[in-house]
Amino acid sequence: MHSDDKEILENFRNEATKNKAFNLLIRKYQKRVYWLIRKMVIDHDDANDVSQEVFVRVWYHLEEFRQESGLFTWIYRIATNECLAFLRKKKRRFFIPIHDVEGELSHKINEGNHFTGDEIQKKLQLAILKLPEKQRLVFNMKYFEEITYEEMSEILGTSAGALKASYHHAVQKIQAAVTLEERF
Amino acid sequence: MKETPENNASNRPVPENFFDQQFHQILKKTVETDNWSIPGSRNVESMFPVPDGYWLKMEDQVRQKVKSPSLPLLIPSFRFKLASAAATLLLLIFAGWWVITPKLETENWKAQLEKIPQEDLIAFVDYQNRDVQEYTEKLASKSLQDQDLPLPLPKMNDTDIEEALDDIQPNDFTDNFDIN
Repeated sequence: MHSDDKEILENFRNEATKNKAFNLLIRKYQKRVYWLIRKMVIDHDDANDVSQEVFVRVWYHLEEFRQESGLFTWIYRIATNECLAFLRKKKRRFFIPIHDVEGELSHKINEGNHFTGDEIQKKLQLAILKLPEKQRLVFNMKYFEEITYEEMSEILGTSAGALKASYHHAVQKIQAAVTLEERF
Repeated sequence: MKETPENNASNRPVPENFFDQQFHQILKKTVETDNWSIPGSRNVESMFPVPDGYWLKMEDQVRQKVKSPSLPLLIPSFRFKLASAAATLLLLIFAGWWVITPKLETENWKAQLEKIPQEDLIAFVDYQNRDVQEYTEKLASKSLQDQDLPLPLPKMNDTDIEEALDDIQPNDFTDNFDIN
């Protein structure tokens, strides 16, 4: 574990320095958590809500954290769970099939308020949205955040081999989707 | 081409370094996948706009939330107490239902029982107390012609009938006797 993470944890367990430690933790991880979630939910307001929920959970459960993994891994695990729970809730709330939620997210990419990338970046994001949720998470973590398979394995509770295979399939699907779009 | 022992795939010798080549191909694919990228597409922050001053605002909002938790985010111990209280309430409701329902059923049954003529009740009690085995044995001992006639059975005396009437249970009654 990083020395500053250890310091954050020690200070968090002390009532006098708890708030300061938590502020430091938010400052250190807020961007990574937010971007992981934003890539999954596309909308800024949704990403903000889910990110805040992640840190509130961290506040209530950090004392139970047993340091069997890194702090970053533990926070990321909360973030991925919250993110998947949010998407599931969204599907249940509107009683619409899966593809329609993905369709709604694709629409957000296309309309321009939530996404300002160029054409190729847009194509990539639209192709990513067609992946199943967990494969999407794996792809985002590996491609954009360059998280190692070993770390991902701890976060997602899946073997490194399965994650490699998942990433391989995701890349193939994205390549096919991007190439297909270019042809038409 | 017709399969012969010479050209059958399983009989063909494995080329030299075959497995090394396969291994190489698999690894090569993995490396290719790992290195695959679309130029200029990894910088997510440039693609998704974030409002100005957002990061400080987010910090403040999280701090406010942990100071005044909303119901779903209540501290675990309180949530536990809330869950226990809900479980106790459910248990009380169930216990109440468990006690009250039989009472209501009994009262309902007694009301129905009062509507039935006394002679029918006595007939029912009498019927309930007949010994079926004894009756069939007696019947079997009769000649074939006499078997068509009902056998006279000793009637219950008044005290036995009164006791039996007190012992009637709703289930006995509804299972064996058409009260309608």
